[in-house]
Amino acid sequence: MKIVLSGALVRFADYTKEVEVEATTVTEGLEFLTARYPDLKTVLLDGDGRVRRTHQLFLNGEQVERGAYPLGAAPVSCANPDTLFVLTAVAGG
Amino acid sequence: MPRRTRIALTSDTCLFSPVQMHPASILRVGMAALASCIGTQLTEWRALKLEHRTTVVIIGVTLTYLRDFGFFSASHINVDAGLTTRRGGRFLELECVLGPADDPFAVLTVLNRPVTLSGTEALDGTPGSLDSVLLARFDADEHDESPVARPVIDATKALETGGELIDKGTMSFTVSRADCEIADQWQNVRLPDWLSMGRERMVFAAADPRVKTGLRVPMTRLYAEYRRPMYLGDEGILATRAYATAGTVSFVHELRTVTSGAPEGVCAVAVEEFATGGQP
Repeated sequence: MKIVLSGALVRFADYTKEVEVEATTVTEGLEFLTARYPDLKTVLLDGDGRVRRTHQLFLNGEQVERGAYPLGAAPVSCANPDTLFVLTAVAGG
Repeated sequence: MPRRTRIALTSDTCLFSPVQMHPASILRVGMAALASCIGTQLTEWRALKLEHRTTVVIIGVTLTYLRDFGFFSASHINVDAGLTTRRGGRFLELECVLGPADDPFAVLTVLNRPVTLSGTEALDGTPGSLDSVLLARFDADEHDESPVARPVIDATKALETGGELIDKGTMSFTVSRADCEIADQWQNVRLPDWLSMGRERMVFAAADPRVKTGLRVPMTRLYAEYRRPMYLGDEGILATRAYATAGTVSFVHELRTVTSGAPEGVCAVAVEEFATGGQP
């Protein structure tokens, strides 16, 4: 699966916008991603390992329900050539 | 009387085109005025972020040019600005008057939405409202509960129903760091430049001579509505339609992201209006 990061997050992933991950679920993909880029982990996930409300996930353009993607929750399957987009709702100002 | 902030800006040649003060220059002045008003009426912007986990983002702009004003018109540009809260802290509106108090040359209105920050280094947030502490810092006459207008929607509908479509075009672009603010999110002040690039491409390729109005004369109005931010490295496409009416040529712009994997959606819409002096 390919994970595409919002531009607000790329500086926490060594300026990598697209990351190829070995994963069969969205949760596995996020675990792979945050293990490779530890700085991204605290920005993307809250203290409980849930994706922060300020970010939204889209699998092949379809939003993944928030309740489905905390780490350890019910898995959302994925495979190649799926694309998971991490969208930052709004930032900065 | 609502509090006002006054800024005197020394004029320089880069602020202007041959025909008027650049819209982007005026928006940039508006950002400086916004920061000043936030500092005067609420708290220093840094403290707003660090202590209140709040910031504001621009969601709408209305710029009206009232008269001719160019580089040779004055050595300084006076800016008079004030901030009001709308709808109980859901919005903040900046009004910025440029030029002498008795004869201003432009008025800029900037609608802002408060954003509640998550507290991470990414400065990520969600749209929110001012908290009660911040809201209480506005004076009684700085609260406005009237509905928030969406002039770009009204202007677009009027052109689609009453105007003649005379041209259309598209332009691709990529958001660079130079286009962004501290969170690698696009600077809203960059929008007029992208609109101008799209319009100018149409002017130079125009089959209909009326499209050249978009460079020949000063802009009279700019309406913009920001719907979804773009970020560093995002790819976008600007789709533009030109309309003629009895007294104007207007350019209606729609800006979308086409970044791989991103959900489809409009990031901004805008209308630029140019007066033709009654010539159709």
